[in-house]
Order: sequence, then structure tokens, then C-alpha cells
Amino acid sequence: MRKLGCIILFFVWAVLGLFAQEIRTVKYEQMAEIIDQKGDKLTIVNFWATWCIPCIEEIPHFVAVFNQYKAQTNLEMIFVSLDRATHLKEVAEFIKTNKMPGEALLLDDAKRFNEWIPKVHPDWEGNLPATGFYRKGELMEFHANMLTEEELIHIIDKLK
Amino acid sequence: MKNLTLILLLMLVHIGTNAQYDIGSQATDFSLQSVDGKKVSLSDYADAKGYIVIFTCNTCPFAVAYEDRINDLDSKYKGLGFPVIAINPNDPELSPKDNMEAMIQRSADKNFSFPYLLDLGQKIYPQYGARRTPHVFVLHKEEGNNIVRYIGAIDNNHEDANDASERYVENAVDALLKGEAVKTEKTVAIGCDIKVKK
Repeated sequence: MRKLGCIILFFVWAVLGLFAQEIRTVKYEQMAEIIDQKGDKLTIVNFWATWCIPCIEEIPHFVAVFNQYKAQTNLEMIFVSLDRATHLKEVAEFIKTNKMPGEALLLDDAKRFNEWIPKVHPDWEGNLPATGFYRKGELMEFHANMLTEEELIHIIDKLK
Repeated sequence: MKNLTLILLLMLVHIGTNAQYDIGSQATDFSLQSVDGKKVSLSDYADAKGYIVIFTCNTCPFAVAYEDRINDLDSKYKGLGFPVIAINPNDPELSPKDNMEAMIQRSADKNFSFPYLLDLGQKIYPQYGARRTPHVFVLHKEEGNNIVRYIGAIDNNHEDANDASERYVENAVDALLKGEAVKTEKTVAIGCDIKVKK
């Protein structure tokens, strides 16, 4: 009986542990470093938020296309939430419910919007959703609008 | 040759409709319905030295976070000649909580001291080049024209007004009132995309 209790506890711990690992709160520099570390792999970085309706509509496109293409094209996916850090739990919940693959970050750098938004792309006004395509830390393509599955596939095919 | 001229002309028109304001651009006037049922234009304010035009809405959490600060901007600067004019750019069919009825309600609930207009038909926000809510354009009257002198965010902390270290709009209007150049003319911030009817 005690053994069973231990096993259940272990599972709860493992699931919670995984869950906690699913999202990291970062500043801009840490985010840039994480993107750099993906090296040669084509890395899709999607900026989103739970309050952003078009982002929520767009996320299933990323989930579907990433799951379909990751094996053959050596893809990486990073979801960067711009929700408030105090909403971390809701964001983690959303990621889990929607089975969002890849890495998840919460970019908690609101006071420096005006510093880091132009560093991501000089023409980005901060409107969400927005998506960058990186390789070796270099931004290859940037879209500050919603992307369809077809558009995503087209961009991946072009950059892979 | 005639065809080429036509194509070039069409291209110019196309560019024209996609134009957006930069610092120094001359802003267009408009006539849009406000929450009190009246139409409001910039030219209604004969004594204004300029305007704080803010594209905002009922539904975006960032816009909501700034409501009290927009009221504060109006109370501080209306008397000094820079009234706030708020424009909701969202399509009310796509975003029903942004329709005129909801705007009237929101304006009453929050005691908006400024006109809150609906960009019905979405003709005005593309001319300004507003991309998100909230998105501010500070206009300055110069020789009878309304010249864009600041584009961007209200301040650098949407979460907590008291913790903002840069109050961009206030700094811009203060400078214009003193006859000085605006130091930070453009800023960016995260905000909600404008809901556009396709």
C-alpha cells in the first residue's frame, strides 16, 4: 500500500515537474540566447498571449505544421508568451490543454518594450501575433500578423 | 504608354491608401460619431493647440489597463489646449463588445471625460497607421495644420502606472507646450492587433 502511495506520489511529482519545466520566465537577453542555442536548426518563434484572440486562433496552425514537419526538416519551435508574469499558471495551463509543442517562454520584460521590440524587428509595432524564423540566431523572416497553415508550410519549405 | 500611365497611377493610389503617418506628417481631420451621439472632428476644437489622438477599445487588456491614465491625460491637458480624442478602430461586427452600445456603457462606467469615437467603416485608423490598441498620435497645430509629433505608447509600464519610469505622451505634450522639440518621438509597445473586417 505504501509502495503504491510512493508510486502515485512519484507520478504526481513527475507530471508536476514536467509541467513546471514547460514554461520559463525570461528577459529579452535570455530569450535571444535560447534562440541562439538552437544553432543550425530552423527555429520558429511565435509571440503570443492568452488574451490575444488571433493568437489563440493561430496556435493550432503551428501545432499541426510543427508536428508534421519537425522530423523531416529539423525544426524547433519556441512559443513566447507576452502575458503578465502573474498569469504564469494560466499560461502553463493553456499550453498543456492545447498540447503546444517545443519550448515555452514567458517574456517578462514589459518595462523595456521600447528597447527589445525593435531588436526583434525594426518595423514591428508590438502588435500580436508575430512570428520570427531564425537560424544560427539570425532572423531570416518576420511576420507581424496571423499565419495560416499554408503560409507556414510555404515559409518552412522556403527556408529549410 | 497610356496603359503604363494608368498602372503607375493605380500604384500611386494603392500606395496612398496604405500610407501611414510618420513624425512631421500632416494628420487628416475626421468626422466620427462619439458616445454622446454627436459627430466629432478635430476642427471642432478651435482653441486647441494640439490633440492627443488615442486608438483604443473596450476589449484589449492593454487598452483597459490604460483607461484611467487616458482620463488623467485628458484632465491634465485639455485645459492646456491638448484634449484627448479616443477612437475605437475595431470592427464592431468582428468584436461585438466594441460596438457603439458597449462603448457608451464603458464610457459611462469609467466616467470618460473625453469623446470616444467609433471608426465605423475603418477609414481613419489606416490613414494614421495605427497598428494596435492603445496607439497614440500626438498632433501639434502648426500654421493651421495638425502635424504628427509623437507616435507610440502612453508610458513604459502598462501593468502599473505608478511604476512607469518614462511617460512618453506627457513628455511629448510638455515639450510642445514649452515650444521645444519632442525628445522621444516614437515608441513601440505590445498591444492588441486591430480587428479588421476582411
